[in-house]
Amino acid sequence: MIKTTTQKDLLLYVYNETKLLDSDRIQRAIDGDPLLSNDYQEIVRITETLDVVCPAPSEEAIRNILLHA
Amino acid sequence: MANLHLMDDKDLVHLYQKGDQLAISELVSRYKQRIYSTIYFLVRNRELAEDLFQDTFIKILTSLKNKHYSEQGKFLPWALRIAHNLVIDHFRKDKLMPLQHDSDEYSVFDVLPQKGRNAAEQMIYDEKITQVRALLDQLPFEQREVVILRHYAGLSFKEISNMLEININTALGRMHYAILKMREMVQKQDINLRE
Repeated sequence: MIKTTTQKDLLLYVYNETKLLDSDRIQRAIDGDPLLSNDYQEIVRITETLDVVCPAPSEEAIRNILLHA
Repeated sequence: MANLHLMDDKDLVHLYQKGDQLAISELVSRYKQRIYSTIYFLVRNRELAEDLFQDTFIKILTSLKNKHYSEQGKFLPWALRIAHNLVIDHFRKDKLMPLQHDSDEYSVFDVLPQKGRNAAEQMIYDEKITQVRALLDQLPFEQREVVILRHYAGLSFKEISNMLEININTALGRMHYAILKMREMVQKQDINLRE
């Protein structure tokens, strides 16, 4: 039976949560379907946009925590 | 002396419970960014995020000292559950359970200047963080929560479903709708933060 690739599969694939065989199947589906490929690119674009920032705590907060250790 | 950077979380916890302070320092260093980012994007206020971040680790330290940490679970999901509960407690206490569009005012002073950035770079970074926050803030809390836990905390969808006590398909569905909404905003406002 041929398994359809869904939006949920794409999300799992983008976040590296698919098994090897599934990854291969999903990549083939992306390569062979322009609409799916577009959806995949858009998910990647959003995740890359979220990636541009990563807030960090202050040094003071870390020092306070370690004082309690 | 063992190299702490190479040790897994379980061994670091054991070392700390035996009195090695450096072991907890390594755990803090390993997960500070993921835990802080999660809290920060949930509460959207730097001072409050700093307080809740410290409270989270103080609670973690107390649990570890009292041997309440179960080794069956992984350290990060356990630590994030503590952080998440503190955030929810805060909202409940102040009756501030976040709704969509409940805070559209941002301040660049909410973001700490990072070491190694000059003033111009910091300004660009501030602008980026404002735009990312705007993207996240338009989402309903339940969707925003899943995006933050997957993207910034680094939990798997399975771990998120366990933590929030929802089905994995529900977690994936929330992420899917969140991506659609953010995609619409990115296209409408022609946002490009990747350069």
